[in-house]
Amino acid sequence: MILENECQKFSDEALVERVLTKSDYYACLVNRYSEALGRYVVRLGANPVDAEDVLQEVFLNAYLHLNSFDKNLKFSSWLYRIAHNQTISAFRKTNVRPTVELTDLEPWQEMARESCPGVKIDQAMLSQKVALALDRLDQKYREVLILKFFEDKDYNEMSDILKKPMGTIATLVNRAKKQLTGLVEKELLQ
Amino acid sequence: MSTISEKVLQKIKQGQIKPLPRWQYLLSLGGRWFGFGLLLLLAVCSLGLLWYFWSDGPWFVYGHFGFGRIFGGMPLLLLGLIIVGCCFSLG
Repeated sequence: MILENECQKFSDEALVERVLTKSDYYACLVNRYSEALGRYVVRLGANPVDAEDVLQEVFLNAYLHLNSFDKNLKFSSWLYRIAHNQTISAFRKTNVRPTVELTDLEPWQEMARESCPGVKIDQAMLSQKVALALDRLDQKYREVLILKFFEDKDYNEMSDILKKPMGTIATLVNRAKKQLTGLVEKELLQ
Repeated sequence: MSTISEKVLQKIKQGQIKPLPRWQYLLSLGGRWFGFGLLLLLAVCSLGLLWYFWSDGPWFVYGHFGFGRIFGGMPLLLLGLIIVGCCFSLG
C-alpha cells in the first residue's frame, strides 16, 4: 500500500511511469482524481447512485490503456476524456436521458444573472428556473459549459478532452451561453 | 467501507489486469498512417487516370463497345471512395 505522503512527491506523469512498474501506485492517481471526476460524471447527468460504477469503469479503462497516454498532453485532460466518453457510453447503454442535479447550481445562477441583468428574482426561483433550463439544454452545450464553468478548464484542455478544435470549442461556448440565456428567460416568462 | 481506489486496485489484482502493451498502440498508429499513405497514393493514381480519360484517353474505344459510361465514371468513383477513406483515416 502506498502512503498519501509518498504520492504527493510525484507529478501525474511521474506516477504514470511508476504505475507501469508497480500497480499499487495507481491508488495515488485514483485518490487524486476520484472526487473531481465523480462530480464531473454527476454534472454530466449521471445518476449519483450509478456514478461510482461509472467512475470505477473510468479508472479501470484508464489503467488498461495507460500505455496510450500521450505525455505531451496533461494527464488530467486524458482522464477527463475517458470519463466523458465512459459517461456518454453509459447513457447510451441504459438509454436514459441525462438529468441535471438540482444541487451545485451556483455557477449557472451566476451566468443566468449575468445574462439577464435587468431581471430581479429571488434565489430559490432562479435556481429552479436554471435547473429547468439546464435540463433542456442540448448535451453538447451542457458539456462545454460544465468544463468551462465548473471544472475551470481552459480552451486548450477542453479541446483535448472533447477532441474538438479550439475554434469549435469557443463557438460552442458562445452558442451554449446564448441557448441557456434564452431558456432561462423563457422559463422566467412562464 | 472501502474507498474507490481500494475497489479499483482490488479489481485490477483479482482480474490480473495489465496495461495493454505500448507496441499495440504504435502498431495501430503505424497502420493508420500506412493506410493514409496508401490512400494518398491511390488518389494520385486516380487523378492521373482521370486526367488521362478526360484529355486524350481512349474514349472512342470504350464508347465503341458501350462501356464509356462505366469506365469513364470509374476514376470519379475511386476518387470519391478515397476522399471518404481519407476522412475516416484522419478521424
